[in-house]
Amino acid sequence: MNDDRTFDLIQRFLDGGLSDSETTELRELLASSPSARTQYWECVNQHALIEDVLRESRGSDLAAVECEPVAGNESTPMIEPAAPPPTYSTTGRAIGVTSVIAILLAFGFFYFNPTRPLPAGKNVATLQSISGKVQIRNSTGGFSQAASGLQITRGDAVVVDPEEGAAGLVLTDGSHVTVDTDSVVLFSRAETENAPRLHLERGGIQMDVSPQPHENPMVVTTDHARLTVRGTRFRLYSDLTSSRVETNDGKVDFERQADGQSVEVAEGQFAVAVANDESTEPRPTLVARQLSQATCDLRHTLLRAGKIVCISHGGGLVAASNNRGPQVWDIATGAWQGSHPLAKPPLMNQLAFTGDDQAIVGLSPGGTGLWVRRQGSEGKPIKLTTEHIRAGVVAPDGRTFVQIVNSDGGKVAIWTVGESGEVSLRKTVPIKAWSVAVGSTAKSPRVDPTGKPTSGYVALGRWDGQIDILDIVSGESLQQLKVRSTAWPLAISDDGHFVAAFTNTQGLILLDRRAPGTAGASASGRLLWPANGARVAFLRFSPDGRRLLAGMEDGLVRAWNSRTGEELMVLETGDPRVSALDISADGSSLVTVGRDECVKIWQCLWPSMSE
Amino acid sequence: MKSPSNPEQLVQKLFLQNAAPLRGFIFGLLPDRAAAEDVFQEVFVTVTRRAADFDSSREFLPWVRGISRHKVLEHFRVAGLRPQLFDEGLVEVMASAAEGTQDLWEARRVALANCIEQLAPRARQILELRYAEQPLSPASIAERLAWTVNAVNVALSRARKFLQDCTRLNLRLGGAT
Repeated sequence: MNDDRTFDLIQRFLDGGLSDSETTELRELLASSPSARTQYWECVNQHALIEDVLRESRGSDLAAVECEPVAGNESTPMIEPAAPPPTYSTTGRAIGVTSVIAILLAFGFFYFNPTRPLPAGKNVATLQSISGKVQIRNSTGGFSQAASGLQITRGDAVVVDPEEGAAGLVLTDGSHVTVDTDSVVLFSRAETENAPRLHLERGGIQMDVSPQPHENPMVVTTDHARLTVRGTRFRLYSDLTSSRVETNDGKVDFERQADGQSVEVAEGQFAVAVANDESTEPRPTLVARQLSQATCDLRHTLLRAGKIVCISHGGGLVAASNNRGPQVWDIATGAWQGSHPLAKPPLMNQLAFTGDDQAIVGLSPGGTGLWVRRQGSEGKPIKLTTEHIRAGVVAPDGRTFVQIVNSDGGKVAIWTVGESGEVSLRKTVPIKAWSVAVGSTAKSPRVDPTGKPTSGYVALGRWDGQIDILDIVSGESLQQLKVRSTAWPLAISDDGHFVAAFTNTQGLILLDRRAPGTAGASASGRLLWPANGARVAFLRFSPDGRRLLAGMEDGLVRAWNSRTGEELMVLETGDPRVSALDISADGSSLVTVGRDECVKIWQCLWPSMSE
Repeated sequence: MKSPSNPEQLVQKLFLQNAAPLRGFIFGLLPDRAAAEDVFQEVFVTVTRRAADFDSSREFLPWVRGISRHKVLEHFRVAGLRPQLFDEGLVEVMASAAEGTQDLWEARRVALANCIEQLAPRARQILELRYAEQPLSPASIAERLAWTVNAVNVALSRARKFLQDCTRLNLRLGGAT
């Protein structure tokens, strides 16, 4: 019996299309052949996965409850009501309650039981969950592919791929470690040491540490710092220049390797130790600072709502879109306001309300635009350039589409979206770009920091790190900025004052175009977040440009004051990754997109910001 | 992060986290969509009731698979049905063969989602009809599209084969990106 025949029989059986004789044939095959049984389960699992992926029933999907509010609500129903669209209300506090560790260590976390530690021995940890590419580097430097359930022994290092991945481990004392993308963690080499010992070579980890014996606490080191941990939750990041700890619960002792100075980093605080630069200058005192000045409470969770979101300019509505088309919810109540189904909807990855909030504009990666009136019955697909599209964006006011087109040596198409959804090509600019960001169009022209009149901005990132700032109407170049490597993602504030770019070599850089020395071919940026560790998945300036928000690959949202670079907020969303977000004009509402199209609405309170 | 405060909450949480592979497992032993969904719900009720029996130092999925296997057999007995494909002995063999086939579930899901995006529009349409909330049989799909049943079966088979190969390739490349 060949595999194709087996495959065919199994598939048709699952479709209910086998004759009696074929059913008998398949039964005998499964009873006698282990490979047929394996193939059967492969097909069945694929069947279940296809169903899961295509499942859009939302409310009837029990598994969707996995995408749950951060703070558990005891009265939470186990099965969502079938009525569209599922919302899930809660008033729980975000900070200090949730963790992406719970997502990545979905299994492992619940095994935690301090009174029943895993057996200790040469093994120091068990690899509980992996995603993406994870390798084990043994003590002789050899590499092997990691798999769930693998025992980690002393001298092993867990190496997570630079592109995408994560690893969840349980130490023998029940502590949990999540290793971020592009990170390496070495486990204790000395057999005489009883306490767990980890060395973060680079990248980021999140730890949930079981209570440790007072006389023999856990030690975690980086090239710049040494942490003594007695039971707490914290995140640790390290790159070539510095190490940073952020404590969620409890406290850690954080010691700077260069001079032995230490500080206690308590719940809600962070501290940074920089590399020894051999400077003769006295080192600044090591201090622990408050991690988050803003607070956000989770207000609603919208299950399977969409991959991309936007908040109306009035702040009262949130729209999300998936392969059913856009849907709208009331931001305060979470009540569903309507959907705009299309016969064959393109999957949008860009979404915006028009300036009057009466229509929604979207753009698919394939180059199909969408304009739909909120009170209308059905959306209107718009054909833009659909060949050789690298990327496209919709302006926050829905008045402009910008597409990067790879053909003809590379060009950028800027489209105008009219008040009734009519679209016209405004300008084509011959630039070979990699990333793009666009701001809203001003009602009347203003003077750019470079002294030129403009109505709005398009930012284009090139392969070599050059960032071109163009006028949104004429497509003329206003300025060229430079970062060290390709910027992705990229964002520009509506007023054009600020550009934010994440690069693999520098990390997240904030450029103030008004700063002295910025005009011209280069700009001195402010480093907000290092390149190693958790990466930036999505960037957005608040409509007034005063705050920059980043959706992170480790499920956090981080926010900074655009003018000062001061950290304003660290929000744990409870999702493993924040792939999109938006913030209302007044800053009071934040919307994030996490796993499985799970959209969360947060109510935020920000510290007063000096102008 | 607070851990669940009682065993019921713990097993319910684990159940929901493993709902997709568990659904697949039950469907594999009981390839009748409605019946499999009934058993799935029964298993949920049973694991909640038997939450105190669950040893949290052991893996959850094998435990709940064991309960599911019994529920499938019970379903056959209560309904007075003769299993369509499996007898009792074969159910045991097939249940054992499922061990290990559901590893990397989430990675497979991500890879598959990417691969579905690469399907030709017609193949995608047929797949969506087949796996819709109210799934259509190949015969119904054929009627709707004015195709022959055989043509639909071939198209479904090709789409699934493509998805299988594509998913494997994605996983091998470690990307699923």
